[in-house]
Amino acid sequence: MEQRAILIVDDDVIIRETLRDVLESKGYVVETAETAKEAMEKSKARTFNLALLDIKLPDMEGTELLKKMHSIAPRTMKVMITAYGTLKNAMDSLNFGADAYLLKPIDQNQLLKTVEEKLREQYTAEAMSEDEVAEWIKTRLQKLKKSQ
Amino acid sequence: MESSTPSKGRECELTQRILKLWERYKPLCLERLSVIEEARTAASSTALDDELRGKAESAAHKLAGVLGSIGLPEGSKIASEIEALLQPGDTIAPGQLLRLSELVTNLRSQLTRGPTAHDDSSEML
Repeated sequence: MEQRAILIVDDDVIIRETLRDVLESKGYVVETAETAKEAMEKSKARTFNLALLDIKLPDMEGTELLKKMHSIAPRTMKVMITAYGTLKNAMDSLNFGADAYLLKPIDQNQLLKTVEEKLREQYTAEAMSEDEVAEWIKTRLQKLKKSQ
Repeated sequence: MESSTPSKGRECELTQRILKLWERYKPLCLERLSVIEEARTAASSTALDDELRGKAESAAHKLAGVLGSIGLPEGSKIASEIEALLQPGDTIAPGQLLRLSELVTNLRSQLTRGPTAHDDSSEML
């Protein structure tokens, strides 16, 4: 199977590099971004299967980036990362159309489980028949509309 | 037992990875702790201004988010409590100041000790 590409967006170098370390050890191709601007540029330049987005970035709120990413990279699965104290933000991000969220400090097993689960969902969607794809897009659009 | 070998191997690999990450990021964590210690000292002499308080709160927030990632889950909890005490707004009460001081000392001990191989929360990232 083709290697899956993941984008990690967080302003903290320790978070970026620890997540990269774990994901690369499982064979994923990983790129990182420190700001929302860098994340958008990288997402325009290539397709990522999944993006891990910190909810608090120096140049933009993570939920705002999430909305922009929906239009730049609609196929990319988006997982929000947030601290325990901001659980409400995590719930809000689901309302904004995130596919999942993870709480810091991130549990390694939970990270891998979430990534694998979301990539499996994406793979299943890609393997669908035309009718199924139409239905899937309809559902996805409804979800995105609700989030706007 | 044979069945425990892959699990032990995985655990060992994980421990090695965490220790490597800790060595790499220990200086940055200590730098963040220094900002918090500076704020504690300033608060003790009622000289804690909003700027330093904000920097220390941000440092505590970052430590809370990462220490569990590098084998120090207890450090994450302590940093999270420090962050709550440094929230902008009210003056830090004497009782809170005492607690802040205690927490900062505990955090320093955690960072000096570093992660251990037997830390049962070492799968926190």
